[in-house]
This record gives sequence, structure tokens and C-alpha cells, in this order.
Amino acid sequence: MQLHSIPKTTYRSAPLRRAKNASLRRSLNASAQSKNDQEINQPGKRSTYRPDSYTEIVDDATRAIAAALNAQETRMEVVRVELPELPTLDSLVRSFAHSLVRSFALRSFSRSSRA
Amino acid sequence: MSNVSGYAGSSDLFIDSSIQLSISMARKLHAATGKKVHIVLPDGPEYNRAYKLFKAALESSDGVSLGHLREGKKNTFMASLAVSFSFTGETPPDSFDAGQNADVYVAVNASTVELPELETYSLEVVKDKPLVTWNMELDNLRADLGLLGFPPKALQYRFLSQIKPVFYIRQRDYSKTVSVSPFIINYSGALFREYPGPWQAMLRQDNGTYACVAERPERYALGAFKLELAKAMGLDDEEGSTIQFLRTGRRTATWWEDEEEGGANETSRAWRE
Repeated sequence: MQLHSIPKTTYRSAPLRRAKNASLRRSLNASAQSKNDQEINQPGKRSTYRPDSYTEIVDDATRAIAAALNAQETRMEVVRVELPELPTLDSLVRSFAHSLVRSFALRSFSRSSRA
Repeated sequence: MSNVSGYAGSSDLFIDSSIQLSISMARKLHAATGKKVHIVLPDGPEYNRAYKLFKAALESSDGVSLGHLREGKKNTFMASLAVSFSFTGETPPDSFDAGQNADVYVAVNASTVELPELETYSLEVVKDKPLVTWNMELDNLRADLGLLGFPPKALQYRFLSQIKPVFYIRQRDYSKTVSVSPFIINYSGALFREYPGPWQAMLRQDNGTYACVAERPERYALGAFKLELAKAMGLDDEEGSTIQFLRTGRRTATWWEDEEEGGANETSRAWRE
């Protein structure tokens, strides 16, 4: 590997420089795609995927199960490891307390700097 | 924020989320196919608890029922007591008949030690009908097989190998050190499969989109998946080089992924396809 050839922005921009196959070539253009582009991705033939909610994931999973049932599959697995984070009452109270403390600290700091 | 991931967050939150999402899926599946869906929990006490929590959702869902892996075995006094007795005075309905009449079964929240019961349930109740394991993270459960106090590896060869992943997302975060700035390169991706599509290695982009960088009909071992992401990033080491060996080690697949160990013993290749 030629380390000196790695651009400094690799970790931010995901350059995908070596297009060896069709999938990779497709993905070269995918980096700049927006959410709207996903609509052209058909289930089972996606070049990109970007679920925004549990509902979307459940819909996709249900569609995949239905397709497998049609194909007479009898033992199936659905996995969505590491589900996105969800807000809870406890976390909302905590974030409210943090924002209170932060605003109090900022106000105290601005008063002391004026004085 | 709370994380409902099975290992990073609260287990109660994870199991409740899994049940809730499985009910949502079952409702949609029934609407789309007309099939009666039976969601199966590991045991009576969990069924009792889940029934109370999701009673309203279940009652408003046509064609969806809740049950447990031991619903056909009420001959023992303790098993019967565990299901029927409740401190709130509320007794959940007997799920045996719903289990017998279902068209599709969805197993939720079973742990490694409960997998043999799931196998028995699939043989005695499910039989030739479809069974779906819902977000049970079978890969993590497989890792426990063969350890002291857990079921033997034969369970993977005999039963788990028959289970085909039809919808699969496994996110992974990686980093690699390099000798030039920025010195550490972080990258993330997801191993993805959506039936009937192929297995895809997807690289996470800045905007949160996962873009396919490689695909093939057979599942990637996690080591191979990482290598595909590294190739796409231009970070792969020269094939057969010392640095590659030092980074990856001698063994790059788990025992169940390994073709020589797992592949030679498994009765089905469905879990890889």
C-alpha cells in the first residue's frame, strides 16, 4: 500500500478511488447522493441504503420476509443489530438539566466579563 | 439518548423494542399476505409480562397472536403456574391454540441457552411452516455455542445453519493507523442483505448513506467484509505481506464462518446464502 498517496481528507470524504467492479463504480457516484436518490433503489437491488426510522426498516424487513415466503423459504432471520438511539423521558430530563446548567454558566460568565 | 442495542443499552429496552417492532412487522405481514402470525417469546413469565405491556396493540392487530416456546408443555406444575399466575390478577390467555393455528411464527428475544427450546418448538409446533427469528442476533448467540454451560456447536450445524438471513444489517466501525497525517483513519460500514438481493458490503458516507462497494451471492465473513471496506478506501495491505499478517493474524474467520470447520459440518448452507 502506498501510504503517502492517502489524502488528508480520506477520513472525511471516503474517496472510493479504485473502481474494480460494477458495485464500486456505482458507489463512486453515491457519495454525493441525497435521500431522494434512494427512491430509485428497489428492494433487493440497492446501491445505497439510508433508513431514517424504525418504520422504514420494519417495512423493508416485512417486504423481504414476504418475498422469502413467496419463494417457499421456511427458516428466516431478520437482523438489525445496533438499532438507532431513541429518546427516553429520563434522557430528556437529563438534557433539560444540562441545558439549564449551561445557560446559567454562560450568563454568569458574561456578567463577570462585563464587570 | 438511550441505546436500544442489545449489548450497549438496557436489556429491558432492547427486548421491549424487539417485541414492539415484531408486532408492527406481524401486522404488516398479515395485511400483505393474509397469513396469521404467531410471535413466540422464550418462556411463560416473559409472555405474561409482554402480554400486559402490549395488550392494547395485540387486541387491535388482526391475525397477530403472542405465545411462548413452552406453550405446548403445560404438564409441569411450575410451568403452568408461571404462565397463568399474575400478581395483578390479570391472566393472559392460553396461547396454545393460537400457536397451533398460525401460518407464520416469529421468534423474539431468545438467548443462547434457549436455542435448543426453539429448535424443539420448530420441530414439534412449527414443522414445515415458516419461522422467522426477529433481531435475535444469531451471530452473537453462535459465539457462545460450545462454551461451558451453553449448547454445543452441533446446534449451529444442525439447526441454525438452516436459517437464511432475509433482512440483515450489521454495522461496524473500524480504524486504521497510517504513518502520514491524519495518522488514524476511521471508517464505518454495514454488512447488508435484503432478500432476494445479494450480500453487500456498504461503506458509510458523510451524509449517513450506506453505499455498496462490493457484493456477492454468499455471505461475507466479518474479516472479508472489513477487507472490502478497506479496499474501497484504498487502505488494504498488500496480499500476503508481513504487515497484512500482523494486522489480521493467522485466523480471519470465526469457527462457524470457517469453511474447513463450520462448512464441513453444517447440514445446510442456507445461513450463508
